[in-house]
Amino acid sequence: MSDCETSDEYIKERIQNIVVFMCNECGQGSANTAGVARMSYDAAIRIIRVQCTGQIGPIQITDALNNGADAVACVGCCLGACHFFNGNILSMHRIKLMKKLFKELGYSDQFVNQYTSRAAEGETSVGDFEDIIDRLTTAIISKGTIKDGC
Amino acid sequence: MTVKEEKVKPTEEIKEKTVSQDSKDEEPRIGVFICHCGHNIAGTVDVAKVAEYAGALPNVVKAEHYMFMCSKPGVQMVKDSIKELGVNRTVVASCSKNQHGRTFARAIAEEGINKHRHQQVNIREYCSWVHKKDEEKATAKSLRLVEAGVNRARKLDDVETRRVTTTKAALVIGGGIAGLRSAHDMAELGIPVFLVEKNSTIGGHMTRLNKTFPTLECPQCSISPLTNGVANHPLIELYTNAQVKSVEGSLGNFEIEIEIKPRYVKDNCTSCGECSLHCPVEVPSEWDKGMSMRNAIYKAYPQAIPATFVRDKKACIECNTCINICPVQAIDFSMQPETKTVKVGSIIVAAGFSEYDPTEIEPYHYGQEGYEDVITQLKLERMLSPTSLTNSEVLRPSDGKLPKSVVIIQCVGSRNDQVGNQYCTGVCCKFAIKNARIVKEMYPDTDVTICYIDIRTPGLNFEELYKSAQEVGVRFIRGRPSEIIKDPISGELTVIVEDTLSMTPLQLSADLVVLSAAMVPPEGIGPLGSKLHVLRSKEGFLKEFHIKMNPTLSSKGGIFLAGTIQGPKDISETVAHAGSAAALAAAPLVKGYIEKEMLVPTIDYELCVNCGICKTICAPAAIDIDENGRPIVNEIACKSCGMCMPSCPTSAIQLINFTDDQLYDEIIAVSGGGAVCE
Amino acid sequence: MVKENTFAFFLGCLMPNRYPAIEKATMYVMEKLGYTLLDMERATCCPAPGVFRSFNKVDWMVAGARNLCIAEKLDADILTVCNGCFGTLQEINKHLKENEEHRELVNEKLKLLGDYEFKGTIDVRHIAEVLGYEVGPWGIEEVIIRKVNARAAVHYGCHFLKPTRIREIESSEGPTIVEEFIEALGVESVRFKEQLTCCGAGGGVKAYSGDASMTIFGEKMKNIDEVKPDFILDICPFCHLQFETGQDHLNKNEDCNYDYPVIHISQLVAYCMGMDQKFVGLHYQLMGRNYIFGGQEIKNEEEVL
Repeated sequence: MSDCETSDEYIKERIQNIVVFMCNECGQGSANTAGVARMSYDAAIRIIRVQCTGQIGPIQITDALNNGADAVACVGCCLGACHFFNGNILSMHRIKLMKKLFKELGYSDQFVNQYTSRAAEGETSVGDFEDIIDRLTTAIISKGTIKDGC
Repeated sequence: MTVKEEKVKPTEEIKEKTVSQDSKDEEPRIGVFICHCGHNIAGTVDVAKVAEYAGALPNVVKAEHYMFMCSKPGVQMVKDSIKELGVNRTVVASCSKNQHGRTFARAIAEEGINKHRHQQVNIREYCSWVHKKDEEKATAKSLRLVEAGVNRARKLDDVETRRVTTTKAALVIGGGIAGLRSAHDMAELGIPVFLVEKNSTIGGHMTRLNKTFPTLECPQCSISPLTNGVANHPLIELYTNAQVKSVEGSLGNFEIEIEIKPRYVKDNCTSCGECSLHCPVEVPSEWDKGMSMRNAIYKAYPQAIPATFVRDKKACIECNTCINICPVQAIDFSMQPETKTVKVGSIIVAAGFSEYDPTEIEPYHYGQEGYEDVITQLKLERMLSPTSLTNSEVLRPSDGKLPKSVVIIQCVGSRNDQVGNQYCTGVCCKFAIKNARIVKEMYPDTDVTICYIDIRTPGLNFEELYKSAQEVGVRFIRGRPSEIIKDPISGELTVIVEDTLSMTPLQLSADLVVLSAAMVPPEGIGPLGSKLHVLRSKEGFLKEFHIKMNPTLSSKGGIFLAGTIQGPKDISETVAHAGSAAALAAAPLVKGYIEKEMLVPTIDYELCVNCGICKTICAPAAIDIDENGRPIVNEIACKSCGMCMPSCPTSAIQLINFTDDQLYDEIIAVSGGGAVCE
Repeated sequence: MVKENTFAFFLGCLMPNRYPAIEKATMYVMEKLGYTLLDMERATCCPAPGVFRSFNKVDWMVAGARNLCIAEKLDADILTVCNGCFGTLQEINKHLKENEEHRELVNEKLKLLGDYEFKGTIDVRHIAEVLGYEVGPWGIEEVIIRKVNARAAVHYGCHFLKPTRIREIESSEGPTIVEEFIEALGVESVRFKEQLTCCGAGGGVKAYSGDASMTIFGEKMKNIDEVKPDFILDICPFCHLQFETGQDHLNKNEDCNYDYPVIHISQLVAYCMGMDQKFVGLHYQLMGRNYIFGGQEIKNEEEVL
C-alpha cells in the first residue's frame, strides 16, 4: 500500500457521497435538531427520509452502493423507542446480514452500518455521521470498498 | 383472523379525491421552488445555480428561486404555477418537512391537486446550516438533493383520505378500578359501554385491600359509588363471569364475541343469602385468599356487585337444598353458557395484574408444607380486613397464635434477575410500610421489621408515611434475605439477612413472614393478547404505543390500555391512566368518524407467492390472510411504516409513494447517479 | 453408544489413599447389582473444582477432559462416589459438549498430552443418583438381606446438587433423593438445623484456613449433636474426611465430646446387601469405632424377581 493511497487528501477525495437513510421519527428529528443548532459535519452526508428504517432492505442499500454511494448508513430510533415497535431491530438484523454478505464477497464490512439517534439530541446523529465516515475510512485503507473491487 | 367484508361494513366516503384520477398516464409537470430563507440558505448555497440546474431536469416546467417561500407571495407563486402552467407536482427546497411541508401541501390542495403530490426538500437543516464553511460542497449537495426531490415528485401518486364512520359503542375488558373508571367516563360522554369481567364480581384487587395508602381509607368505601354507578348506569351493560372469545375488525369497527359462563342463579335473585346459609358445602374463599370460607353457592363478599349469587359447579354436590329454599325460585341448575356478539368502535383493555407467586423462590419455602407462616401481602390484607376468619387480627396461620415478631421481605419477585423480573414494581414499599405501621400500632409489643434493598416512596405524603412508620417503631434493615430456615425441632422460622449498612449478618427470628410480592401480568393475558393482536413488552405486560407520549394506546389502533395491564402502578396512577384511555377511546366515537390517509401498501398478486411473511412482520397486525391464502391489507389498521416491503421475497407488496421504484429514483439522484460497475 | 450396565470407575484421590473401604464397598454394591466396573488406567486427580479451577480454568478443563477421554475410550459412563470429582467431571463434560469454542481449545491442548480427543460421548454419574434414581428404593429393597433401623444425619454436601441448572438432578433447596433411598434400608433421616450447609472442607478452605474450616464445621456439628443421630451419612470422601478429622479436632481443641460414626452411602448399602461389618472399615476410622450396625435380617427369596 503506497503512502499516497492512505494520505488524508486521498481519503478525503474518496469520500464523496454517503447515503444516510433516516427514519421519520428520531432519525430525521435528530438531523433537524443538529441543523437548528448549526452543528457541522462533512458535506458528503446526504440524507434520504424514509418512514422507518425497517423499510430499508438490501435493494435500497445495494442500489445506493451501485450508483455512486461510498457508504450507506441507516439511522433509526433507539432500541425500544421505535415508533413502529421493532422496525429498527429488523433493520439491524438486515444490516448484519449485509455485512456478512460483503465480507464473504471479499469486501470490507465497514461501509454499511445501522445507528440510532435521539430526536432532541442533534449530537447523536452527528456522532453517527462521523462514525460512518470513520468506518468508510477503514474500508478505504483496507481497499475493501465497492469501488476498489471493480 | 380474516376480515369478512360483509360483517363489518362501515359507511365509507372518500373525503378527498382530486382531479388527477389516472396519475400514471398523465404527463408530469413539475414546479421547483428554491427558497433563500433570507440569508439562511442563500448565504451558503448558490440558489440561482440550483434553480437553473433544476430547470433543466426532465419534466420540470418551472424552476424559480425566491426570498421567502413560506410567505404569502411565496405560496402564491406555487399556486400560480398550477393555475398558469398546469403544474401538477411541486417541489419546494427550503426548510424541513415538519416545518413547512404542510404549508405547501395545503396550498396545492387548495388548487385542486392532491396534497401528497408535494415533495419537500430540506436544504437548510440538512445542508446550508451544517456546511457553513463549505459553500461549494453545500451547493453541490443541494443540486443532488433537489434532483432527488424532483425524481420523487415525478412519480408521486394521489393518496386519498378516507372517512370511516365509527360504531358508537365501546368494550371494556376487565371490571377492576381501571375498567370501571374508563367505562364510567365513556358512558358519561354518551357512549354505550359493554363491560366484560372474568370473575363473578366487579371491583378487582382494590376491593380486596384492607386500607389504601397514604390516607388509610377503606377502599371498599372509595370504590363503592363507582361500582354502583357502573352497575346502574343506563348506558353500561355489565357481563360478569364472562370472557372475550374472539375479536374481529379494526379501529372504529370491531365485532366481539363474548362468552358468558352460567351463574346458575337468575337475575331475580334478591341477595337474601338463604341459599348460602343452608348450603352444606364449605370451601376456602379464593377472593379472600383462604382467610374465610364460602359455600358452593355464594356471593364473593358482602358488598359484591352484582349482588346476584353464583354457584360453583365443581364444589356443588347437587343436594338441591338451595333450589328448594330460595324464596323467589331464582336458582336454575340448567343454565347454559351464552355467547353474545357486540359491535363496538373502541376497545379498552383493563385486565389488571396478578400477585407474583413466590413458590419459585425456593429459599423462601413459600407454599411448602411446614411453612404456613410465610404469607404474601395480599393474604395479610385479607387477614386485617373486617370480615376475615381471624376477626381482623394478625395471627399465625399455623397455630392461630399472635406473632411476637413479624418480618416483612421486600422485592420478592421484583428486581430479581434469577426469576427474570428485573423491574421494580414501585408500589410494594408503600404498601409494606402502610401495613407495617398498621400491625405495629395494633400490636405495640410485636417486633415488626422490614428487610429492604431500597425504600422507594416518592410522591406527596409518602415520605411522611415512611417517617411515621419509623416513629411507631417499625425496624428497617437494609438487606435482601437469602433464606428462611426452620428449626426442625422447635419449628421456629429464622430469616437470614445481612444488614448491609452495618455489615452484620443477622438471624431474625420470625413468627410470621410477609413477602411483598411483585405485580406481574395477569393470568390469561397470553391468549387474550393474541386475540387482540396487540404486542407485549418483554415483561409480559401489554405494550403501550409510546412510553412517554402515549401510554394508554396499545400497538393496535382502536385498542387502548387502562391500568396495571400496561405496567405496575398504584390506584391513583391507575385511575389517571384509565381516564386517559377513556378520552382517547371516546374521541373517534364522539366525533362519529375517523379520517385516515390511505398511505397503505398495495399487493401485486401476480408477484405474490402467498408466503405470508408480510403478515408475520406487520407489527400492528394489519395484514390478514384470506380463505385462498392471499394476503390482504387492512387499510384502517395499517400504520404506514413500510416494514413489509423488504421482507417480501418478490417485492410484491409496495407502500404507496414509497415504492422500491420511487425510492430508487431518489437514491440514484442522491448518490450521484454514476454507475460504479457496468 | 455407551456400554450398558457398565461404568468406568473414577477413583479420585482421597478414596484410594485414605478410605479404601469405601472403594471396596462400592465395588461390592455395584457388582452385586449387576454392573461392571472398569478400571480407568492413567486417570489422575479430577482436578478439584474449587482450587484448581480458580487458578486456571482452561488447564482445569484440559486435565478433566483427559480423564473424560479415558472413559470415552472405554465406551462407558463414568461413575464417581465423590462430590468434588462429580462436580468437576460433570461440569466439564457438559460444558465442552455445549461450547464449541472451548472444546476446540481444549482438544488443541489435549493433543500435546497424547492420543486424547474429547468427543462428548459419555455422561458422568454419581453413586448417590445412580442408587437414588436408577436403582431406587424399590430396586434396592429387592436385593438387600438386612435393614439397619437407625437414625442418620444426612449430609448432601455441595457439588452433588449445585448448581441446579447444570447438575439437573434435584432442587438444592429441599432435596430428598438420598433420604428416600435410605428409607428402604431402614434408615430414618433426622432433620437438623441448617442441614444443607457446606462441611467447611472444600473450595480450598481446609487447606487455606484450617480455623475457618473448623468454625464452619463446628457450627454444623453443634446442630447435628442436637438431634443425636446414630451416625452421619455422607456421599463424598472429602466430607467424610472432614467429619472424621473434624470431630477429632473439636474434641481435642474445643472441649467437645463427639463420637459419631461417619458412613459413606456405599458402606451402608454394601452392609445391607450382605457385606460383612468388618469390611465396612469402621475400625480403621477415627470416630464411632465401636458402633455396630446391627439391624434385622430380612429373608429375600432367590426366586423373587
